[in-house]
Amino acid sequence: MLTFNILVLVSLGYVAFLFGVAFLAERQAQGGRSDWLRSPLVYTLSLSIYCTAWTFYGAVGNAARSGFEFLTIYLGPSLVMLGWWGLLRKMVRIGKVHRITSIADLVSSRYGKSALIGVVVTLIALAGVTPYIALQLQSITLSYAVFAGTAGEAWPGTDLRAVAFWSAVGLAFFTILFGTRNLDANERHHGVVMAIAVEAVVKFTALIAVGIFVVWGLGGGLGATLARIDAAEATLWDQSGGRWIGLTFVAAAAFVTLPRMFQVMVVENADERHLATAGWAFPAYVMGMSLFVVPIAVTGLDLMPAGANPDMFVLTVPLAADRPGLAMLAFLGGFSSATSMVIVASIALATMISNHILVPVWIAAMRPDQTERSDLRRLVLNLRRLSVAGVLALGYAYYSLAGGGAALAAMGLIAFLGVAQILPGMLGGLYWRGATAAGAAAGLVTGAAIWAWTLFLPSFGSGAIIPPEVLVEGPWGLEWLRPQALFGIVGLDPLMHALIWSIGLNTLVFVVVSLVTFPAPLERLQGAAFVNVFEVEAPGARAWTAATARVEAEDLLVLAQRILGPGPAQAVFQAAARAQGKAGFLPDVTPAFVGQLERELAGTVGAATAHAMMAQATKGATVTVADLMRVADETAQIMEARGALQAKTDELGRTARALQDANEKLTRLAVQKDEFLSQISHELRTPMTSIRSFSGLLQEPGLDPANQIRFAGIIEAEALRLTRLLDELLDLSVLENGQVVLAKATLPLRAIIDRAVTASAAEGSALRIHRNGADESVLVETDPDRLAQVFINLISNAIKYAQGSRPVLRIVVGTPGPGGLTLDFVDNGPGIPAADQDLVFEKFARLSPEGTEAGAGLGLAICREIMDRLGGAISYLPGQGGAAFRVTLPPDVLPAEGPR
Amino acid sequence: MARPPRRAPPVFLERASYRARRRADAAAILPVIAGALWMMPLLWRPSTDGGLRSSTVLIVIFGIWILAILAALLLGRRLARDTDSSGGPGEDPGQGPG
Repeated sequence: MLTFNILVLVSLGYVAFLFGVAFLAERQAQGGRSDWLRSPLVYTLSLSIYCTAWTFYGAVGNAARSGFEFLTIYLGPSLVMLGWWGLLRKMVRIGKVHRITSIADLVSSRYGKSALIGVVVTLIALAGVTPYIALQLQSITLSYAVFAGTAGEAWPGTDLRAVAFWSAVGLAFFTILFGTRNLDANERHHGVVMAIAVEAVVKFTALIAVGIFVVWGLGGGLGATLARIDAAEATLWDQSGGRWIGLTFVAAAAFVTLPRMFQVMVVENADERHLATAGWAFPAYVMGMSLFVVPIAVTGLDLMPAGANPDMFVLTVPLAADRPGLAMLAFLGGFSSATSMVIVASIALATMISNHILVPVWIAAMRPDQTERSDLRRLVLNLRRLSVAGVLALGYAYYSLAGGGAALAAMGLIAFLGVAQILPGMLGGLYWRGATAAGAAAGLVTGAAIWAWTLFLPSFGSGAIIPPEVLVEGPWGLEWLRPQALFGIVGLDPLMHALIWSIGLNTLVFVVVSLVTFPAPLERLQGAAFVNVFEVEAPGARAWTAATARVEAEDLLVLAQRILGPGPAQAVFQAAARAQGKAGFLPDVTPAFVGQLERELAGTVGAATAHAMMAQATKGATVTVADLMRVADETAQIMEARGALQAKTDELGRTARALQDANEKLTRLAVQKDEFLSQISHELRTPMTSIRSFSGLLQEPGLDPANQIRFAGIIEAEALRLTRLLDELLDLSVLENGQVVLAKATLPLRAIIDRAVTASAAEGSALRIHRNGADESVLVETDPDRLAQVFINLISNAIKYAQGSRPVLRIVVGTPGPGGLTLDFVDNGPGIPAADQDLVFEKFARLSPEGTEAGAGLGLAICREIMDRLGGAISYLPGQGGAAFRVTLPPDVLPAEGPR
Repeated sequence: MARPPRRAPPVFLERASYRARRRADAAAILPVIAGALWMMPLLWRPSTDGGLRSSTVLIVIFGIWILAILAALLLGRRLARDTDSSGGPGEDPGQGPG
């Protein structure tokens, strides 16, 4: 049979093995071979500290008493892990970016690095977790007692207490040795994590082994076991929906808010991607842990004598079946569950207590000159070691006072609900920028107070802390304040009653106070950085103003060395100096550098303390509302500059298009010019050739006088043609140079048109001109000679180009109006191709290069120049069935007392 | 210290990014679905004539568990790959999901 001594020896051997594992892992990590220590598998296994002795032993007891209700304790965390993408990923990312050291640090950091909130969260965690540690100590002693009972030895009660005592001492020793070795949260606890990963494997193996033995060894296979489950006396599935949902919620909430879970999940996380593995592997782990709970419970109820403690079935069933080896394995599994939980919980709590309570108090108590000399690094480590010892001492004290009773057994869920009070403030902080420190603090205090009043204090039993008459009649006879019937709601399950009131009012107060209060600048900064952690890249730089430049970098180095240690601090400063392009160890003290340094310190002492220290060192150069507004202004300015840039780009695009058009036009003009040059050479050459040849003929002797006169006439006509061409060129150049003097006169438009028709010799040609005499009676004040020149040109063009059997020209005079007066010259010729329409008014442009009687191509250019001088315009009017030109006279040509 | 303006996230995505977004959606909705399914047995009342057996409830709950784990396994692998390719966190490169 197993004796007490064998049990102690095995336990000690197992503990020595764990020390070895932790030691080896630390050695490996120091040697830089930490890759395999930080695999997703180890991460998942380390999460299994969720499964404590309470779940290892207690789940079976719970199943024996309440059926399937124990499943909720596993379903809640499974849901959280399945949804890792939404919540845990954000928590881990924030934890890394902001160097979060604990759940209290997370909440305090989010709410403007508030020291008060850090303290409140720490106290809530302490109140919830201390009894939980006591529960683990109790489970260790109970498991010893089971063996003692079967061994038939009457171990005195003092021995059991001694077991608890020495367990606490041993755990404190282990935790201090491996848990408070280093300070920076980035140098994680490799030894501890490895040890709890090994323990995770041990407890999983133990429970599965007992389960397999029960189902196939005792129960006669799967079918028989299922039949036994159905035949069980207790109704296993008789759930009230509220309790099922409520417990699932509480377990899920506790899973993310328990300090030890936060420690392994966020602080010890090496790589965000490990969550992807843990997202399915952890639910698989807890499913395995719960797979055989019901069979063990049902078998235990069948086999064990009535009155046997169902909490210990995992141990007593193998012992009753005379399988001491299996029982030993189960014992080690329970031992592992208890110890791993205690170790991590005390590390997490010690971090919180030292960072949020002891260090700030110490710094506040010291005079400034003293704090500058003291070695804070050693101080923080020692305070943390002291905290570990304190937490375990508290746990042991709690066990000694309340141990053994049913009070402790119910402690698991009570502790869960206690830490769940952190959830509203935390979730609100992660997803709602409007959450304020005042709201979070009010919600936390409200929730914690209601939890303590309705659940925690009554759990010690009637009369233990709350007098029985208060339980029945309420304090001071106020019935509506009765702890288990707040506001007169009776008949509710106490846990559900506390859950609804504490979480409900906690959330309500948190939201309402957040809505009506205004956050401090730092709070708003942190809120934005937390809520938008995936979008914002470098937080912290904005938390300090340019006033930091007054601070000496050397002072900061002294401070940093005292917390980070000389080597790491100098490395940080050197890297920052190099990033600024400076040599040496002292960078310029910019807000960005102060923010970075604060983050480094926060990894060691927590955000609130680090911020307080930096604020002291920089003499209060912290952020103000004005700074926040300036950030917003900068953003607005950037947006404005972007808008202006966009407008400029658009304008450039338009200019480029205009330039392109101009270029195309120029290219076409150059071609036209070349054509014109050859044309004008030809034009000049033709009359010159006739003049030369006829003047040669004139020189020949014996020419009869009739021919002499004819030849001289030809020479004169050709000379006239040359003169006309040169006149036109000259005219154009005069017009273009603006040397023309206008001789204005007032006369009817008809007179000018008549002159033009006469001068262009239209009457002698085939062209028929349609006019409307009434419209033409309008008086105009202009230079009639120049205007007539334009009309002549247009009519001549029509004579030239309006071919066909019946060439027709319509002259349409528009109605005089504020836009002036228009005259349209529309012929029935072939018109001008669209491609040439914008070129016809250019010099040297010719309407039809292959035309029979082509002019020099100056006519329309002259027309345009004349119209410019007259203040009007001439344009081509497309879509009129032939060539159509519109002459626009400006409004000032119309005399005020005109006939119309 | 003017920062370059943060570009507004694009409204429409190419196929690969679109699928990655939908996988993230699926990951977010997975616990909701699993939670709802686990509430389902609450609607079953133990009937007096022994119609509903405890073992059935147990098998259903564990069945949902296994399905949820498989779904998370498939989704998690793809999501980890998505974050890798988009130059995700990667403080410690090295270990893939294993």
